[in-house]
Amino acid sequence: MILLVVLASLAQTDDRSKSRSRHAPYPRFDFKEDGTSEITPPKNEYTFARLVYNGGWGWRYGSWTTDTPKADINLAAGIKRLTNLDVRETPFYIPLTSKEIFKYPFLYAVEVGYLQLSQEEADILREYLLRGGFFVVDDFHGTLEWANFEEQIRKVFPSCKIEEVPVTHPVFHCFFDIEKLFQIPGIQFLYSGNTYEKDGYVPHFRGIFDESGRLMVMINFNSDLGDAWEWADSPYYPERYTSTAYRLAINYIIYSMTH
Amino acid sequence: MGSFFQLLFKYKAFLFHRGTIAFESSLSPWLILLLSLGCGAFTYLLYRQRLSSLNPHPSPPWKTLLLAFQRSFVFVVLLIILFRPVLHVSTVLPRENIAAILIDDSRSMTIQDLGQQSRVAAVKHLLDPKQETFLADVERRFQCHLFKFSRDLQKLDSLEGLRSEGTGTSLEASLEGVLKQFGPAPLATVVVFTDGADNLSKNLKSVISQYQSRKITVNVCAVGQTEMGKDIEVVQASAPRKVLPESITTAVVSLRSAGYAGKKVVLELKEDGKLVSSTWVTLGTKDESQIVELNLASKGKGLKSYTVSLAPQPGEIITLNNSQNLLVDVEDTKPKILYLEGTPRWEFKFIRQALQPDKNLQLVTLLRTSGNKFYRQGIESEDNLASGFPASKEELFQYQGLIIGSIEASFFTSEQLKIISDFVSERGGGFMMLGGRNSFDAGKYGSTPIADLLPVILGQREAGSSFVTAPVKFRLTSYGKSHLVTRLVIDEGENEKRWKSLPEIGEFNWISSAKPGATVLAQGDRGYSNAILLATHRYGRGRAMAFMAVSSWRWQMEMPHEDDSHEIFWRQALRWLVGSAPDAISLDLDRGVFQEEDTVPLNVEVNDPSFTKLNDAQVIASVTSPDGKTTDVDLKWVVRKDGIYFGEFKPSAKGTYKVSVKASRQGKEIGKAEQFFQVTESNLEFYSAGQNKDLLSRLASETGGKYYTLADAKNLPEEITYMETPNSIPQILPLWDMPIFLLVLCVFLISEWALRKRQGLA
Repeated sequence: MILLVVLASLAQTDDRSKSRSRHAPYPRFDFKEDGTSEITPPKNEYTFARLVYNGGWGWRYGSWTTDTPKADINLAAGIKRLTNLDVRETPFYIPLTSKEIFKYPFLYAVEVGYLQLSQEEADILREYLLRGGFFVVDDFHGTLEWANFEEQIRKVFPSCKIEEVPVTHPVFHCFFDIEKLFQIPGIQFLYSGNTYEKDGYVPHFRGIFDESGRLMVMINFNSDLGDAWEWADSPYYPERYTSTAYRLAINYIIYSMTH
Repeated sequence: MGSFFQLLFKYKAFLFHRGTIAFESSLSPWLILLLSLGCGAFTYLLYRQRLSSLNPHPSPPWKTLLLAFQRSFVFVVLLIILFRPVLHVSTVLPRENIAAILIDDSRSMTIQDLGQQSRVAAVKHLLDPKQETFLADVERRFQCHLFKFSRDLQKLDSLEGLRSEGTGTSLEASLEGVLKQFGPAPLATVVVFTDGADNLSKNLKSVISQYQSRKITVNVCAVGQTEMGKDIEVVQASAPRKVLPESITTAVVSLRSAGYAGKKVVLELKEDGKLVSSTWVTLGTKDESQIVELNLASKGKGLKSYTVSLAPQPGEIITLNNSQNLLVDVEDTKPKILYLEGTPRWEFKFIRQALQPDKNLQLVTLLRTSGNKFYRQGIESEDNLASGFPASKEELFQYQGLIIGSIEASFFTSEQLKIISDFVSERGGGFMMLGGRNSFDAGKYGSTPIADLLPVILGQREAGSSFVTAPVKFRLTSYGKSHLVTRLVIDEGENEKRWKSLPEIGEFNWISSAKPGATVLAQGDRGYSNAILLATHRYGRGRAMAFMAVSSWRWQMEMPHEDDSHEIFWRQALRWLVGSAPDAISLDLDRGVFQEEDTVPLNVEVNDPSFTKLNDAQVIASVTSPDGKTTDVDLKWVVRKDGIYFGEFKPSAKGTYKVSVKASRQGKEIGKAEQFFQVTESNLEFYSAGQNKDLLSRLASETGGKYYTLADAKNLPEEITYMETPNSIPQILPLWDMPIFLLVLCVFLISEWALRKRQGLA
């Protein structure tokens, strides 16, 4: 029985690595020192902009690349199908130091348990958010990763209050009415059977608000929406998680475009 | 000249103008002609015979003719004298007719433009029996009645009663007052001493007609200089009567000056004596009227009283006309604007975000998030917009403004498109279309009623090529540099700098033609300099604006977060858009500042919620005066105007008044309106205070009278004696003994004798 489980998990791992190699060998983002050369102005109304950041080590090196490009492509397809938003269909990566960052008011960062922000980047992110930008962070779990994220976000807003976002908040109702929030597990769920990772047993949907009450930073802690988008077409990944992850993502996007 | 004429013709020239010449003899004038011809022929034959018989060399025929003519002319003159020529004139019987003498008692008569003498002093001098015989001369011929006038007519017992305190001049009311005063009595003439600075008459022509039909002449003795010399006038100042708090608004000031062309002066706007705004003005020439705009930011709430003024200049004759008052009600209301957007987009988010801090604009948004899904924000109840975009006038007309974003024309039913058009033209709402992938031509609006109400011309570009993705900067036009919509800061130069500092927009709808009468506020730059990015115009009762840019949100995201240009632009634009949208019950007072003794017109328009005009309402205006006393004025429906009710109120004192209007129908209140007005000391008399010679000459000539200056007014008593009135009698003045006849006879007889002598006949 144990052998079967191990074989099954190995098969999934293979499948994952195959999927990566099929869609994009490895996401690369090359930009010059001034951060302008590789990025053209947006051609679509909405671009799912993935934050390029420094962070991670060992096999986590370049952790900003996690789940991409498949997650980005799948999500864009979902947005296109479910809303009338004019959305860019290909992945888009941007560092905070790019001068074009302010043309993309929605920013997504994954694996922020490994996020490392320089003070310059933190200052840019602060300015970005105060001007009206919206930042979604995802796929980080447990006490240690939270501690890292909190340390980094305190560089942006040293004295900000990080609050639980209640399920009654407009961010959960502006497109889909999401009545119940639960943990969205990563792909490890398929071989571990656990929805949690590390000691992140309880999912948290937290936020940082500006002075007028606008949600600026949406924090998906102890959940992995990125995997849910990436494995949306996998028959093994439960539809319940995928559909909720899509709903949450679309609500975040619509919220960011209406508030 | 006049006395020389009288020396020759025995009488003054005006008598020959007014009278008719005839012959007293019963013989026909044709007989004179016949006899004259006979005499001529006879003398010619006689001279021809004599000249040919006496002279061996016959004289040339012209000499014969000349001699004959001279002699014949003497005969003709004698014949005329024998036929007893007379002058028939009409004359008034001494003291049988009435002459009304009207003296202008308004403040403009205090102006000292007659050397060291004021206008009224000059009139008093002429009428003073101790100094001049004018009044006695008139009284010898007429029953003379003295009056003073300004806004109306008052009896004057003595010249001491002249105070020159009238705050306005109405020749119409005064002349009409004279007619009423005397009724059927034999009023022959009215003599008016005035500078003609008539500032209140509305229909002087009708009064002139009454004088013409009753054959009463108006003789004018004009006082004052026609040219005022050195003077500056702040003729008018106007600003929106009601503004929302924290708005930048514009006061439009009209100036006129004489004698200071090219001089730079400071025009100041003060609130309760505190300088709020100022600008340098280079004064124009005498006939040039200048319009100057001053920006003011209305801080706080409530009534604000402003004064626009120019400092007195050296040598200026009148300084009381250098200022004007303004009253602005900074009203804490919240006009509602409906914003329909066809797709989620950043422009939508950032417009919402820009208006969120504005407590005086309520933005209600309806966003189509998917094929059949709408997201509503800013609604007051769950029922609001529950079935989507309003389908009835009543539902749409509750808003003062309407913004249509990127949504295709086919989204609307034809009825909804018609309602949108009516929203602007009939309801007077403000309409704005935003640029987008489905806006303007790209949204196929070309053949809809929306195309009619937009300030730009659609259909000049294919729908597919009308939406452009390119970096373009906003370039303000000359109108845009000073327009309220594009006013980010009060100072014009600073405003332009700030616009230049804003980043490029990324997309826009390419439209290059505006409708006649539209105001283009901004265009593109570089390769898109013909692209109109912002334009506006009036459409029916409302305003319409076209904003072709798609990504003004970049002014927010690409500028430091402390920069509020994006917020200010949207706040200004939308406040301006709804600034003229009336309520269903609206009160119009004509202006905000009145002068003492003015009558305040109360015009109220009454509509139902779908803005159908109501003619069966009961409308009462309650006017609260500065002392707290309230007076009710019952307003009556103006039969010729649907939905309009009118009444008047005469303020009794200076100060601020509040007018509250209540409209009801079948005993049920249907709406209210409120406005303030201010009554100030009247300086009306010091505007356009030069002698209005054109008006006075016309008044005199059209009634059969004459225009006099004070210098020739001494002729008036005699001249007004000879005029045709219902009570005048004919008078025959003999002309046979005019010295001119004797002179002519002498001249012709002497010249004829001299010529005869040369010919050897004498």
